[in-house]
Amino acid sequence: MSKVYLARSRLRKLEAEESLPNKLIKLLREAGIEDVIQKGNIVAIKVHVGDMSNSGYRYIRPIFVRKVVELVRSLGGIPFVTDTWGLKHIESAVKNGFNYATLNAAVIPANGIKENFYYMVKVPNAFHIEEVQVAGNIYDADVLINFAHSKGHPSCGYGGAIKNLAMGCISYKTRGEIHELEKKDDIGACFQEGMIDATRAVLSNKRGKAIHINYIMDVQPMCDCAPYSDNPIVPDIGIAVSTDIIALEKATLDLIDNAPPAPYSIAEKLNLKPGDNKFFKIHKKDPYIQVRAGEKAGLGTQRYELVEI
Amino acid sequence: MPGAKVIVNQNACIGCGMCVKVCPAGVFKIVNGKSHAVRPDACLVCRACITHCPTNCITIKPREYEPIRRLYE
Repeated sequence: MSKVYLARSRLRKLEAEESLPNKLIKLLREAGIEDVIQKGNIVAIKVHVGDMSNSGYRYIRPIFVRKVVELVRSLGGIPFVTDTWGLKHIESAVKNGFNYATLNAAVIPANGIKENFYYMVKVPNAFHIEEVQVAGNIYDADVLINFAHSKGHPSCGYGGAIKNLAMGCISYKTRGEIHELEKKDDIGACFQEGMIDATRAVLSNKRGKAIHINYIMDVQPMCDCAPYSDNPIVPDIGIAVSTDIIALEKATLDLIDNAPPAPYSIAEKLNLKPGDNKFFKIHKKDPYIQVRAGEKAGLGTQRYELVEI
Repeated sequence: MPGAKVIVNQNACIGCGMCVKVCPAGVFKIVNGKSHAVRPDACLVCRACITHCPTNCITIKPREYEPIRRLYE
């Protein structure tokens, strides 16, 4: 059984401390970030900085990333914010609101200006991908804060903490190999197993040095990489944190599936109900496959205790 | 399934062949000194070509997946 800490975005009182950016700090402390970061550690904060054409807008709001940066600094860590796709993506990140001025940390490519900086990591008993090229700056970081946005995705139904590492902390070659797996079946099973192989590789040198965050807000049907955004399929839920990536993903999917469909969304159009496997109904890909595969691979447990702060 | 509309701006392309070299799916071919997306259906949307192109002349428009596309028709 793993603990998953949840802060709901709903205000209980009209107080600053009740507002979600401040509750995020409390969540990270509850989840044990002080045991993860030692003074002097270089800390990678992996986010998706939005699409390349600056047309989508439902990604993580930069204020939340700044809160994490400030917490890391207060613990003596040296933070940097990072994403994949090379320097050109960092250029779009600046326009999307992720830069030194807004975050108080450098924003740098995860794997070099042209994605050629990586370490080859072997994955024993892999589902599909036995050698993964892990993004160099992620591998070199002492600590990894995996700050993911929970939303839909056409390749796997849903993308959150697992996908943020599997597709966002690797090289373009491994990314291509995982996408190639989509051709093997219609329900996204091989693709999701491939993501688990990559996630294992990314976390291979981060035992006790990684913490995972799901931003369960603006849960739009498509990925942050798309050059458009649509209305969220469920009302804003909040932010969840755990050191167990599988427990976190299971809890997040349960929260989304148990939520009512949001008005004016594609979920309303589909007449989805609380309890429906919403991403399966939208994308015809079962997102729980990645959770089950991850548990089987030893990344964590699906059994969780939800601790609300 | 992956696959995309891959557009090479012929005015900007200098025919360096970097996209041919980095593409894992064999999408590009140099014809008469310019790159052409000859196998766009094979595109895996890894975006390596965009990352590496020195003149920023490649655009990828991923093909929308059938289930979600139908919901927006």
